[in-house]
Amino acid sequence: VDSAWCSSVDGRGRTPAAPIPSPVAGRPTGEGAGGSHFPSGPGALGTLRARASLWGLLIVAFVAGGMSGCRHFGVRAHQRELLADRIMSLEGNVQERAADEHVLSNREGAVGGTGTAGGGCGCN
Amino acid sequence: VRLQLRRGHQRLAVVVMVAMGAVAGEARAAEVAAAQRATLFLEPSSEKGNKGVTVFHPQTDVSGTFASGVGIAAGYAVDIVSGATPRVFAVRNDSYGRPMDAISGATQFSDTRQQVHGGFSYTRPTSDVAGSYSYGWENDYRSHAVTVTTRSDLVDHVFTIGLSYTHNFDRVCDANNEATGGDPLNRAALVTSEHCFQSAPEVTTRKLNIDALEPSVTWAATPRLLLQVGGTAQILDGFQSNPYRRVELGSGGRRPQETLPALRQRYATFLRAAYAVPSLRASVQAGARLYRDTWAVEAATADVLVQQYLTRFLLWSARAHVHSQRGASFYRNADEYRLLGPNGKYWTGDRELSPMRNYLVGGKLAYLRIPESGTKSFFSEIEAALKFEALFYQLDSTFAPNADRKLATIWQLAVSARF
Repeated sequence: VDSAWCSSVDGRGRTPAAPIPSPVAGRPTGEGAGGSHFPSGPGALGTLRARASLWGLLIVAFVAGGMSGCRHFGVRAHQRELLADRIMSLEGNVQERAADEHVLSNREGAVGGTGTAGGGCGCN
Repeated sequence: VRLQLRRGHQRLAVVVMVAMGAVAGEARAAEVAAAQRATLFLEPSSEKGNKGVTVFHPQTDVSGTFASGVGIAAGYAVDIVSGATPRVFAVRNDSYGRPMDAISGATQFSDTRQQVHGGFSYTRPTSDVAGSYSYGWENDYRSHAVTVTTRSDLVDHVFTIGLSYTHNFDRVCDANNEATGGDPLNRAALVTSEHCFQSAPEVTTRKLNIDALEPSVTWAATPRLLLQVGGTAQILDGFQSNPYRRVELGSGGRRPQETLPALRQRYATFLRAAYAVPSLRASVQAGARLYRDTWAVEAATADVLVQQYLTRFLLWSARAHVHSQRGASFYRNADEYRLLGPNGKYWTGDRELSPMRNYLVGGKLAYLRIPESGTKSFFSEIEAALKFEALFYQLDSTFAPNADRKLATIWQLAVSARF
């Protein structure tokens, strides 16, 4: 059952017409899939501390959304053109991210929160 | 029995042939990716005669993905480290005997750390699971790590739940301090890694086990906005000191080996967002992380990444990173250790356990070659990228560890291809 909010996103119940990219998938694969999905026409170039309860509320909101039977909570398949572009990937290039984390984890006292885990004493 | 064996062999042969046929069939549908990256990390010292630290870090990764969703991956990485690091964290006096800064007179060293890793993945339309193993080794360190990652898309791919677990079985070489009777003030530091892992009487091997759990939830909130929230819980149990480092305690000149607690629990939570700006053919990614551990290190980190297509083949990006942290509960700077002695039964000369701020800025230019849709090509994507970043350290005292190193520069060159 779609809620009013869900219906406002797209209440027409369209069927996905294309393979749906995961929001956190790495680079799309396949011929031409790595290209820009952004328009290319003329002119196109052109509190540090948050409360733990906020995180809890966000997670509860996510879970509640998933459990509510709200099938169109968020973005439809045909609306994912921009989200599927490589520059929208939150994980980015896995090898590059590993190199970046390798540098910072040996120069800062904090780790985690980036989707990578590892060890090593970093003695030098 | 012989007949049964023959039948068994026949069955095995059939299974092998079917498997080989399946693999051959898969191979035709496979996509292969290869990536080579080299990172050069330069951290000069402001002290005359001290070269600072240089790290050269090449990486090679290859992977194959088959039509059935099965993937395999392997890689090799090396850290070639050279330079000089201080082996004693202590106060240096000027010509009048007044405390001037922390000692930066450093010991020359060079070391090579190598790592190999391999893994598999199985991808379905709405979920995937992956496992990997890595082995890292250097003269004084051995590391085995096993990682399992799973990811599921929910509600028409609007939400993605990810979970990753890693366990490290690490071994660290240390000086054999059995003769000290367990008194940490009498502990001697490791002098050389020459006899490590060779059952020599002057060295011993210490264990370090690491468990890390990383859940995350990603939400495709709007056609332009991705949101992700998640966290990390990590437990380290074992020897975590730098075995070479000594800390000067009190004015009597005692310089025992660095001593850290054996148990450390680390927690981080983060929120990240990616927003598309199609009118500029660009995206903006921003993230914030809060961190706390049982050594009382508290940190906040913010990241911003802007990426933009200049042309169909050129992509540039700019990145900024700010990190601020409080020191560990037992941390004191070199002058405080000299005047006040240790704060409890632990002491350290580790910059990463001191109060500090880091600022990183940099940019990247990437050349992309992607065949037009409908055209035949032997590759599906080729990329070459050059990246430069500068990392600035802001310490709270001239008596802090490595206060002579105020910045680092990072150069990165990468080439990758998909076929």
